[in-house]
Amino acid sequence: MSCDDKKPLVHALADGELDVVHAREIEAHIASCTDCAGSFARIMTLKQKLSAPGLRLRAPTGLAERIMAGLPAPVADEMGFEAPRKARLGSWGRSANAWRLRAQGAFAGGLGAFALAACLAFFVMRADTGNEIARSLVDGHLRSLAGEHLFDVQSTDRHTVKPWFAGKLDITPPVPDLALKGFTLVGGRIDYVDGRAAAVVVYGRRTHVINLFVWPGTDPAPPTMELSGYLLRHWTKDGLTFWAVTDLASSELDEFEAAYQAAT
Amino acid sequence: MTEADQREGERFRKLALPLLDEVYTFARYLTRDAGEAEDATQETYLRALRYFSGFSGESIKPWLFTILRNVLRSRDPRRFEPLPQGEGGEAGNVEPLWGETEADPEVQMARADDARVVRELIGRLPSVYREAIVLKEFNDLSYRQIAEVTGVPIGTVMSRLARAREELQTAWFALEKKGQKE
Repeated sequence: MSCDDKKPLVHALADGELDVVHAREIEAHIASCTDCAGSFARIMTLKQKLSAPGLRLRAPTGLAERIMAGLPAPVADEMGFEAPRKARLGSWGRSANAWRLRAQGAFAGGLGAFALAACLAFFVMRADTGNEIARSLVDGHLRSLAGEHLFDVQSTDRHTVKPWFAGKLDITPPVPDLALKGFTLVGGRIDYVDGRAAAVVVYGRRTHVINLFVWPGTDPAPPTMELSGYLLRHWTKDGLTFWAVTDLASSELDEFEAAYQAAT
Repeated sequence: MTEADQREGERFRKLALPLLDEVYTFARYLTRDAGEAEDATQETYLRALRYFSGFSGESIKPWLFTILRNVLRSRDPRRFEPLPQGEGGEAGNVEPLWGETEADPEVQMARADDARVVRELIGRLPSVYREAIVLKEFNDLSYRQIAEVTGVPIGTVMSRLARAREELQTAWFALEKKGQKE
């Protein structure tokens, strides 16, 4: 039996490009065709490999500054962007050092930089009306870091955290133990994002916090966003929407997402 | 400078700058050279700003990648030449690597799932396959958007993507086999 005409659709299924009707059709075919089932499995394995940390790259430090320098009427000094970017250096930042030095030299000595950076942070937080959810998530993350409300239930035991949600919300988020992957379960809480209740599972790595917001629904959203120096990662699974917010480096957030996804 | 210019600059900053890493990622995989990728990224943003008033506002990402691709092509007109029929990716058709390996003997020792090895393998793909898989897997573009950026029909995008995956799987398999022998 030849399935050559189905092969492209197997890729399309793996890429989430099929509508429900076609997706069902191909899934049914895969269930009955070992050949196509094999291709589908290989594609998914490859996609998994390609989601590993270190493959999506970071622009070199200083590049954003140089681009901003060409923009009309900057609202704030470049330091506002420099600070968060610098913190994430090191994953694969084999960049033009000469440029970086030059950029740093150019921007050094700006005594008003901190004030301006603060203005910029305020600006980014407030003015980005197109990203209500992102802002709301980062607000929630910041509130939690400010010590106001990091967790309602504090436990490193998933068997304590998971049932805790059950009585409080319509959904129960997966709470896998990711300690072996280097992410410690810290606790859980209920938070409000953009007007809706969300389960938040809190993981820690070193001194960093990852707030994982979970609520029902699978509304489309960009997989990756950045706001005020915080990274946001979005995915959907089993009818739930997941948003991870952290100040970890992108590569570590990749790692977290991969570990969490693999465990759920 | 007028107020309208400032507003426009502001809009550009908000829409385009968050995509900097993604633009750089594509440039880096396509050029396989840090310096060249950085230059191309910067040029892309300068061009994008210049033409920003002509951007309709639906989705900036494909628009930005289209500009980047034009920048890359103007720097190397042969970069995106389609492959002759039946060619590409066979043994012996390995393009020069993007420069990490020679300097780093560790690569020989690296396990096959090391990100560096994956980058190498992607770097060896012919550029039209490479751009398809990078746009799909790292830039999260849809088939339709990839077709838009690369200027080919969706069917071609799908076959290039399938080909890229086959070649990566083959290369991976060969590497693992080699690893087992040693």
